[in-house]
Amino acid sequence: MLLLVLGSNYLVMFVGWEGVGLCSYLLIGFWFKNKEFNNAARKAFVMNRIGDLGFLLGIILIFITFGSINYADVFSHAKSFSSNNPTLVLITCLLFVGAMGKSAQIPLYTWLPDAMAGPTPVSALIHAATMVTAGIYMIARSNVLYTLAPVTLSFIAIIGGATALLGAAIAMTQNDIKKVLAYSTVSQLGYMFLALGLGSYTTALFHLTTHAFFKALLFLSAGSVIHAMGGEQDIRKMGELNKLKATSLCFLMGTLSIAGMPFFAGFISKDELFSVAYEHSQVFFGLLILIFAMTGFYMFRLYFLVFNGSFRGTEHQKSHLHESPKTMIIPMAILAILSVVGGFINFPEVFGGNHGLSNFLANVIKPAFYTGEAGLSHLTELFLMLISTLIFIIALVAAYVIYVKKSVIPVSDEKEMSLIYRLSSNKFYVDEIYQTIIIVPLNWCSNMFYHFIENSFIDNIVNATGRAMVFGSNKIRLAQTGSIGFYIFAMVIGIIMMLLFNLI
Amino acid sequence: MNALIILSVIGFIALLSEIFNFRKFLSAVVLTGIAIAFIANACEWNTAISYYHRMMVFDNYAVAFTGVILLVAFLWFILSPGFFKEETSRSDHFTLILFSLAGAVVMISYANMTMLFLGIEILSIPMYVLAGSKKSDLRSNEAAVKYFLLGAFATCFLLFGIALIYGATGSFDLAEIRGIGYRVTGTPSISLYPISSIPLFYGGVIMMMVGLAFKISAVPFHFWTPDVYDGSPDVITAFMATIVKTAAFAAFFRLFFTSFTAIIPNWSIILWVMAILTIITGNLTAVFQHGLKRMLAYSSIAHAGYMLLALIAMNNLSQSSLLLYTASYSIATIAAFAVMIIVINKKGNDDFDSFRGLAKNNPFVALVMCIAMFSLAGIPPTAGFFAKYFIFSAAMQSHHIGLVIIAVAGSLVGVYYYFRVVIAMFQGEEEALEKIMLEPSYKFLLFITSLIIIILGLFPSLLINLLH
Amino acid sequence: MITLILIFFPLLSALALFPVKGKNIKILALAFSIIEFILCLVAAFQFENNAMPQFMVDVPWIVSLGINFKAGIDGISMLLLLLTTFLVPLIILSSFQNEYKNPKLFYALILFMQSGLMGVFTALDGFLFYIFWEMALIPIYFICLLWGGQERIRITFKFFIYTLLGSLLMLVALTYLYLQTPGKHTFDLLAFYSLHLDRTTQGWIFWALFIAFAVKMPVFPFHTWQPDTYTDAPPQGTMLLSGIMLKMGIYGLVRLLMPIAPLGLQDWGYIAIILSIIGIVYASCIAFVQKDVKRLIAYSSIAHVGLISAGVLTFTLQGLQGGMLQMFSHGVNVVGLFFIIDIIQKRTNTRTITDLGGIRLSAPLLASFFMVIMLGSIGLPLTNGFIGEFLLFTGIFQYNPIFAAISGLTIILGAVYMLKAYQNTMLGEKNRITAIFPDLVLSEKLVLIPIVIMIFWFGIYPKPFLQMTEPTIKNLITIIGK
Repeated sequence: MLLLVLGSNYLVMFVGWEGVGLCSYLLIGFWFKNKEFNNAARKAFVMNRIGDLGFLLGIILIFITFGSINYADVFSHAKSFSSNNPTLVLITCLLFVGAMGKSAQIPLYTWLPDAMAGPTPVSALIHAATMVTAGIYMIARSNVLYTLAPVTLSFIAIIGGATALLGAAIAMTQNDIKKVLAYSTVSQLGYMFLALGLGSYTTALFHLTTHAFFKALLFLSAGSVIHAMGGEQDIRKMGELNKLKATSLCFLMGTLSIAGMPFFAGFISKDELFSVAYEHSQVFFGLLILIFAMTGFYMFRLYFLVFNGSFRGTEHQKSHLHESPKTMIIPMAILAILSVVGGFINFPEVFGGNHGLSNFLANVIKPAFYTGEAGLSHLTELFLMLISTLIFIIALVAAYVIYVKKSVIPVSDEKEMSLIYRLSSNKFYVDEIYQTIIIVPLNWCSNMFYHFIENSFIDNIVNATGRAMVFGSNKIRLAQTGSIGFYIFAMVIGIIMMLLFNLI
Repeated sequence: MNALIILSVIGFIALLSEIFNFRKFLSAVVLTGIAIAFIANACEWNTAISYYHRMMVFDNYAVAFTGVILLVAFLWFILSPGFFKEETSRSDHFTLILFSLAGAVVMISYANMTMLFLGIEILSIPMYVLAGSKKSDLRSNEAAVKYFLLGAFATCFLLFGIALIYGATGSFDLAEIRGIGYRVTGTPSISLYPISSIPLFYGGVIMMMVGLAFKISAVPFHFWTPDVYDGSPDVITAFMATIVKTAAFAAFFRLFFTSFTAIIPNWSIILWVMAILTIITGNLTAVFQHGLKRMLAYSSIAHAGYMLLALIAMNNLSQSSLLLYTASYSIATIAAFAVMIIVINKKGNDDFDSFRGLAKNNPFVALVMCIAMFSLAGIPPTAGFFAKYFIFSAAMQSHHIGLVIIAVAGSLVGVYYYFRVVIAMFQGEEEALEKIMLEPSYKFLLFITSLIIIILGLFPSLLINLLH
Repeated sequence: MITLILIFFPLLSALALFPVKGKNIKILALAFSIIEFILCLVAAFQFENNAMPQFMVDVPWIVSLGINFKAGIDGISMLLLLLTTFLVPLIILSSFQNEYKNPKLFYALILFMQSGLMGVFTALDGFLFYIFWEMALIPIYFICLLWGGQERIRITFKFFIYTLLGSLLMLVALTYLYLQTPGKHTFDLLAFYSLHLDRTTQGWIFWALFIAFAVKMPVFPFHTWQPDTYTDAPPQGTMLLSGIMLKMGIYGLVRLLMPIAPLGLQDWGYIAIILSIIGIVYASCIAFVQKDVKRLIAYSSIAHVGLISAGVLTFTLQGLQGGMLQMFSHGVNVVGLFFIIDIIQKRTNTRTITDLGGIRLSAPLLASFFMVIMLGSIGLPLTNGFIGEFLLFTGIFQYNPIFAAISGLTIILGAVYMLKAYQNTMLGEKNRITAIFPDLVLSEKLVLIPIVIMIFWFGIYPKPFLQMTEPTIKNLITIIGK
């Protein structure tokens, strides 16, 4: 990862890029005895690779267009290109394909939930904070190119928004604690790409940072919960775990941050995204309202189901409930603190902050759509903050009502569900769709190639020549009859032919 | 001429040995005689003396081919003692072989058509007898009869052709006939000659071609070859496949190269068709064979086809390539026959299966056979490869690329059946023959043949430069 | 002089093996091959990095046919000589755990073949090239015939005749070129380069030569001999075939086809490239459904070689350089892969993927080596496969971006089938067959360690190798451009 971000040219970045892919593969398949886990690791690697193909082609095109793959060379040359130059659009699109794979955007996101097969610290580090953010880093790093290709930026925004929506929609009905967090990550990554697509690179990086804090925290806390439950991950079997004071407090901090509790880190970065969307696109603004609500809802649902109510697990599990050792709690605590106060690195001016992060990055990153010095007025900013706080409260209340007051417990898998619920809980059948439109035809193709073309067709031609020889031989040898009369007859025919030829 | 004389003298000595009862030393005497003949022949290099009013000319061409024949004969005599031991009248056999050799020398060095006829007859008649020399074997008798009948038939055509040409040109002499073809001005046509004789001339050429084509086993005059080769005693087949074929080709080439180059367009195409048919027939029929002897018989037809390419090419490379080809083909055939005889002695037949396991206990024998098969198939670094290459090269130089492609395809088929022996030798180790004790003379024979094949394979210039 | 030594030393050592008695054959053969490697290193150190062939030997051989024994070493040759002399000791070492009957013959044939290979890579005379080409073919035929699997007679026959057909085509083309050289004809390659035949003739020459090399590599659709032959041959035979011998085909493309028929390349090259690319996707798909892991690797080799062939035929600097580099990488990787399969087969008596599993539990060292080599094979950055692939893709992209995108599928498909093979053999639970699986022994480690070192060296620091071939390739491009 360090190689990826510290590299000064695209090739080094690619080396790091594939390197983290490899580590991800190895770590997801850490418990290698389990076939399902191995399959998940393989799926992650292959999907990454699909993205990598796009990335690689992008790098090659950069090399051909600019004659170099050094950031410095490329970016300085690029400035001479006109906006929406087709080559630039192609380059940026190809690079984005790579980001789609690495950062789990539609359509290459299905590996991330499966990657939860790995140990939880792995999920915390790689699949929440570092590896999956590589795509965002890459686009931010290449901001010069992307700014010159607004078409691609629109595309990125659409994908990002759709992913954010889809992720949130699925997270609302998942019953595995890690799966909820996984789809939440997918959704949050969508936020970041949406920010990029709307032209505000620093916003994306800011949210990347805060997300790293609270998502890693959430994962580690989840790990703590699973550890306490002796390996159980189904939230329907949990409940009343607020007995685990430290864990539940940390988890709460994380939840509040992601849901957008005012002045927590998550709130600040989400608010910045909110503002950017408001500035540039009404559609996305409206969409974000919905997504924020969903985010808040599913996170609080998760919290209430796990920590509130009464314990729904087995007696055996109950007796084993214990708080995690200090080695696990301390990192969680640190992250919890950061989740709360981390927003201050880029605190908006409206409250006296100095937009520290933006200034820090100003040399390298300029926003794509420069709206002038003023930007939004302070009043509008405050108004927006108010709206997002409102959403937060609504989500909290809704979740509380359903899961605490009414003590609704998500149904077990066998019971009947409504259509929307089924769609959501089955991940909108995306994996199955992939299976039918890609895997099955691929298998069929391969089999056809092998059995039909290879064995019956090409090889047959080769063997047929051999058989023709033997056949010919069989026929010709019959001419050797052993009868002198026939021999002489044949010779005479030959002589006559020769004479005839000569006469002509 | 010296070689001819020495051969005839040795022949007489062999005849007399029956009377004076020194059969036991006969082999040694014959071998020595042949060696002396070889040396004497070599002394005539670059002399080109003609004898009997230009009946025979011992130019370099004749000396070279005679040298090859004598070398092969030398090897053959080492090969064949077994054959001579059985029969009581073996001195007669020696005599017949030696006279046949003399006929071969005449066939190679003739400068007059009558000598050609004489040579062919002197070569062939002993062969008719020897083909049937295994008196107890019905197939041998059949072979002799077939050979004789078909041979006589073909010789008739030869004689008829000679007569026609004499009628058209008024001469038997090769050089004169050529001159008549070209006239003094050097124009390659015989248009200045009386019109009425031209069909005579063409007819004569065709007839002679038929007679000679029989001798070299070209399609469609090849039908005698499998039956005769198969029926004759093994060593006689070896003689036929090597020396007779060499002499026949040398004669064929000499005739056409010297006399009939004026009308190449007429007979070249006939040879072209003949060559293609021969290559295809020879190779395809050999594929199906299960016995080595019959396979070699059919493949010799294929080799005749390849050698015909030299005749079709008719350029400065033809002579040398033909020399190399006949030499390498003959020596490899001798080696193959030698191994075959060894196997027949042990296993009783020459089926491919009899060769199984040979490599295990008799690696030397197997190696020699491998080398021989590689050479016949045309795999480097053996003499056979370069022989084929030179001949194909000559053909390509005369722009017969299609023919070369067919010949190459034929060679590929050849690889298949030659390799069946090789594969069999390295398979089936359970059935391995116990170590065969070879007589020193046989070991020497096997060694020297493989050595020659490899040396010619590395340095083909040795033979090529002779006639270049 | 050193060229002659490099060519003939293995031949002489092959002959020297015969009188030796007893158990020491293996060690002796190994010693000879290591000496050859050291000799090659000596040559490499003395090698000057310009475009001209060095250490030349030029002796008339068959004057009447214009054939000279002319050989020399330039950048491309040097790389391939290093590959050959590096791999042969490893291949010999890989056989130490196997018991072969008639070991003398076995090792002699391997060394004999090495001689032929060294000759092919250094010959500067067309006919000489052909002779060495055949000379490399005969020993491998016997190796496959004598120590191969069940169906070996039929399969080796097919292999031999198919390949021979290709080489005879090449010979006809070479002879034709020979006849075109002005004045006293010669087979000298330099004379061939300056022939400048007309467009149509160059087209014919292109196809004759391309088919010959396409059979060797193999390139779709001339590849059907390969899976059977690779699967049925003894492990060392497969390693020789895939590690070194197929490089002869690519070398032929660069040394013969491109300089002699550049116009033919222009006119017809696109078909050849398309065939190569079809081969990549086709073979990868088929690899995916293979149950025999050796056959799987054989098909993956077709895919990799298709990529190299396509890249080289684009005639761009990156494509050619990538091809050179990838030849070396592929040779190293594929030998490693086949060796690992051999290890698995020796221990479990099966190569069927579905029968295996969980080997990592008993043999973690083997699993690690396998992982590294596999990653090299799929072209992960920092392994040797990546640099070559990247350069090849760049070359193909310059020719046609769509082609590059399709060839790029190999990085996806390669990951798919290789990971699947790895997962099903190494990971998961142990079963009855893999229950007892001893880990690597010394001789096996000694083979795998140099391979792994090369994988990383090439991946991290390929510069010396790139520099070795660069002047020659640039020179080649300049010559042809004229």
